[in-house]
Amino acid sequence: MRVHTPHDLPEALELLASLPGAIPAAGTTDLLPRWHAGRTRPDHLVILTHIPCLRRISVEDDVLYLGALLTHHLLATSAFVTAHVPALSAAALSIGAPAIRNMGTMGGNIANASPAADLPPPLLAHETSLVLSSASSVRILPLHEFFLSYSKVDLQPGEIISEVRIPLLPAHARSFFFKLGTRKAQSIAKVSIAGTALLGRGRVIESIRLAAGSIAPIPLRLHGTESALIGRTLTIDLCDEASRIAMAEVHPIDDVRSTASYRRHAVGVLVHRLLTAIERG
Amino acid sequence: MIRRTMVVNGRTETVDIEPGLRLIDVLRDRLNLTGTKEGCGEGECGSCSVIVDGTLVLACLTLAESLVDGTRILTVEGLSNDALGARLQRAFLACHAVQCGYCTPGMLLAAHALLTEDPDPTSERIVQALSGNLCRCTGYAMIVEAIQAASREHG
Amino acid sequence: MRVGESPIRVDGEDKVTGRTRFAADLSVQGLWHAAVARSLEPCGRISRLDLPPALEIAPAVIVTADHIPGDNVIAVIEPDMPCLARDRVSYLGEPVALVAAPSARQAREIAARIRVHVDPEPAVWGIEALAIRVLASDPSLTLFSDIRIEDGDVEAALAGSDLTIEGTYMTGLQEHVYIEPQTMIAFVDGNGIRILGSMQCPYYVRPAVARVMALPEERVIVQQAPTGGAFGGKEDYPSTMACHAALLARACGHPVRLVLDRTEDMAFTTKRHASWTRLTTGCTRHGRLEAIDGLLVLDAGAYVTLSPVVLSRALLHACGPYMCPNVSFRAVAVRSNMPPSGAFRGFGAPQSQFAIESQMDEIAHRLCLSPAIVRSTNLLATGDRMATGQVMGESVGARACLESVLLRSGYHEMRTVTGSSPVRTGIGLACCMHGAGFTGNGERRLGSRARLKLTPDGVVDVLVSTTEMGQGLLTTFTQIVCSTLLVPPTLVRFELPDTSLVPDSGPTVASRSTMIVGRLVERASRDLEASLLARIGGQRDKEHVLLPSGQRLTWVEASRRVAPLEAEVQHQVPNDQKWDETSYRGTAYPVYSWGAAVAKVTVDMDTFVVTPDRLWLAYEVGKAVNPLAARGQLEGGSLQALGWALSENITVSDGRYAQDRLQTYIVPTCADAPPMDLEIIEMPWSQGPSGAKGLGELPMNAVAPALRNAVRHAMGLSPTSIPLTPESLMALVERAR
Repeated sequence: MRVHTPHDLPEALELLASLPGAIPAAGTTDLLPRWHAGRTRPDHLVILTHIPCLRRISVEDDVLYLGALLTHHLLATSAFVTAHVPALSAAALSIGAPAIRNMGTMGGNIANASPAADLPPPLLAHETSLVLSSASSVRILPLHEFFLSYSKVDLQPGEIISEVRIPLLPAHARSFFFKLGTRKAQSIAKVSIAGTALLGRGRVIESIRLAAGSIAPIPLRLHGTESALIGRTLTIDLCDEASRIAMAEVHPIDDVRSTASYRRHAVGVLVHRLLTAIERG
Repeated sequence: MIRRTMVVNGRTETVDIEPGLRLIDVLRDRLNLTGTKEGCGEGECGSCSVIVDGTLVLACLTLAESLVDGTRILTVEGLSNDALGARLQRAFLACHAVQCGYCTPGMLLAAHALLTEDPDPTSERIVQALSGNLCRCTGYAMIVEAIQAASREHG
Repeated sequence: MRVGESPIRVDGEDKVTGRTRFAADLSVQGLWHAAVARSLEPCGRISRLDLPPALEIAPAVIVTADHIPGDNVIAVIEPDMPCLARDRVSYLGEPVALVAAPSARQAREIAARIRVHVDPEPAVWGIEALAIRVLASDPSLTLFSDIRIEDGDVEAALAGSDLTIEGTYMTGLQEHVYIEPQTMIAFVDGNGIRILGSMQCPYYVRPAVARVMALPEERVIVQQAPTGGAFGGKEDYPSTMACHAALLARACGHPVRLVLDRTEDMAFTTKRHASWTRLTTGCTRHGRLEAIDGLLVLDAGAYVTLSPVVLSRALLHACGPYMCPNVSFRAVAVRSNMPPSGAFRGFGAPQSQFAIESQMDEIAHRLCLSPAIVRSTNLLATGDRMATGQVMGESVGARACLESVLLRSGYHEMRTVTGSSPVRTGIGLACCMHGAGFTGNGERRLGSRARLKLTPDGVVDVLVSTTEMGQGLLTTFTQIVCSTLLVPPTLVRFELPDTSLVPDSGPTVASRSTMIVGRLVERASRDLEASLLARIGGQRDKEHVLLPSGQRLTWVEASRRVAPLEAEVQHQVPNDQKWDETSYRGTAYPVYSWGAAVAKVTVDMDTFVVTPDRLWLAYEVGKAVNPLAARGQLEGGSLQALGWALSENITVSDGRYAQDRLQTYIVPTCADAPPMDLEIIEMPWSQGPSGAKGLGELPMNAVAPALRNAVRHAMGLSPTSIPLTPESLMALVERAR
């Protein structure tokens, strides 16, 4: 294995394009243990952490641009992110512990395609698009199209996630993230739910987007639940109804962390809590 | 093989790094700084916590080659030469925050990162700061008390 | 630095500066690295072993059972466990071949190329499945041990009881998670073997290595390296580690280091035994226990190892700290096709006391009495008789502990409030005891020794095989010497436990170090002082030695005149402490330590997440030689018990522990640890050093049932097993619907 540490994006993309078998890497929190245990053997590793433009935070035309190399710590503490995408900063703060949050990056959390990853649900709920860059092209892909199947994503050889684009919601929009994990810190999600909503007069749901993690091979939007909610008045009864629909909509499994039946139940609870939080503002 | 120069505990060290070497291997095997411990090798126990350019990281998850020349690294061996580090060491001893000692270096570094950022943290903040460092001996209370004591000694 | 003070640990400075060299930290000239090739099947005959050709892997070496010079056996109690499986495998992960290579990576890669072909046979595991087969007296089951306590007439007493209730309780496997993984180095030294590593018991490792290597014991030297936590996990397993390293060192001619990576360590080393207990209890309407009829089953795993003694301690604690006139209790350790379970802080007592302490709350509930009253009615006191016939003597702190936690927690007031849906508060109580020292005739058989040497510069060398693994033993022993000889700590020195230098003080287990070996150190100190004074013809005058001439010498001056001097003492069990291991009658333990815990929890009735809000703890330990070190042990043990009760879940999938990483095996972090209000109560025991009794394991006992009882209080339903995961509590609610 050879390791490359480019200092700007074109150089990084050129390396990824020209070196056969090259893969991009960022915080290496996931990659390095696998490499050390002999479970992955890339020929070339292109380290992206020294490329400043991949850490930018900016707002243009009601779109928030976040560099893919922003760490969980930066997402959790950025005033911009906390103000405009609260679900995302809450999710980032729920990851690991301080040292991991200093190392792990948003791009890595997305590209690893773990069903239990914490950032994809809030990003899905905020209708995020990914900017995928390679030496020869830049394409923009809605995040929900990025996840294909378990551990499979639409990332071509030579391509990296360079940026995410989050359309800003009106100031009165609500954005929440709820996670049921394995413990109070250093916690992997058994189930996580993120949601955004706009309530109109009389608490009528004008728009709502819900997404969940650890409930299927990939992070998913809960479209069935959303469509049952849209246009209706947000009441306790509706929260109950939405919980039931969400529980029917997910396909969790038994694994080392939890059981399918508990996860299904927890989806109902978290959807209820999320809607209650939305209702309370 | 890549040559890197890093400043470890204030000393400039030049190391030839082979591909895939982790920072923990550089510290332990190349520089004989074995105070940094490997407890799990996958970022779950915190025993290998070190401070790289002012930021708390895990040495078992850090690819040595990804560090640029001139990177400053603080390990447990450098704490005695640092006012805050020495204060923390004294407090850990006085408060019996040390038992088997295997998590202690990582705990000290996590505490160092915290008190550098926030010299007078609340106990909740201390708990959060230590939440990535597993200790199986103490039950944690005496470690939290030691950090409070170190913080008071400063104030 | 006297007994009763809390001086800074003698090993503390090295630990906070990173100077302490654990076994993985040592630079060793010419060191090679080891890896283990294991069975991928849980049970069956080995049909073929494919090894990569020697030429291809040179200079690396492979060792199989055929290369063992001595007996292919590691005998903890019975000689049933092979060092390397040869003809058949009995659990998934059983070692079959060993590799040594110049680098750890090479060794791992070669080990991964070794193929063990097994003709699979039906395998058994799972504590519930095993218990059902025990109840059915299934003849295909192997019982490694089957023991009983019989006292009084249980049948008649049950028939005459106001209330008879039956309960079944289970506890799960628990992994130690010492933060330092198992590590061992072997050197070929002349015509012998030297072992250096992380361990609790150098004198267990020595005979194990001697037998496998066909060496006389004196040609095996075993040295303990600083040990990064153990909790029982480094009691018997290091013998296997050392034999493996020794075989490889002999084969390659280099020193060899074997370090288990965390997953190997979690997947294949010992665990706390999973348990299943059925209790039928009879009592009066006032809650006085009349009869206990019990059956306790432990899943021993594939080989006997320590299971019979774990089972014995479990049985001897199965009635809890209570008096009951009629007892019939059977306990069995059953063979399964899982890695052998072994020693873990508490050694069976936490499992059996979880059952009785849960049952006590069920009794209280059925009788509409306070759980505190039911316990108080039955607590053992001086003069009371246990089911083994042992009569309680001095230093019985059971009631003092109960009263302490009740008073400080405001238990009675809090019991009346349970909160409302969806978040409910619960308060739970449990009492416990822990027999200190080896069970039954163990101490008599061991005859532990300690030796002190006085050098001409006044230094007292302490020679014991007792090991420091975090518990603070080097410090407490220093305090005992300083208090007895009135010397400063700078004059007390320890040899690292090394079987060529120190006498056999017994293993560092069973809460026996301070109480038994500390007492020996105290006695040896007195003997040393007496022979110094006899030689010099003087007497002590505070720190000085007063000569008949009226001259006052300092300790160092006096030492210079008479050193070298030595004092060696051996532990003798008083004649009135008799134990009959066939009838299970007599003095099972010389003394007991006592405890009580109140737990306050919040249960989220939607998510079934249990949050421990606070623990109130009282532990009666005779005398805290070092109060802060004692606090560290008691709080640390209490948190370990909390993890066992709430989150440390191990499930078995295809013969393998599914949770074999720290990411999936959930031990408490700092954020999961509740505040603990601890009171250490001292009721000195005349045979302990300054009155001290064992305390290391005690905190493992009461916390889990206190949490269970708190959850029971909050939910109004009776959990019967731990860990109390949200998944298990949801299932409990569904069953109740």
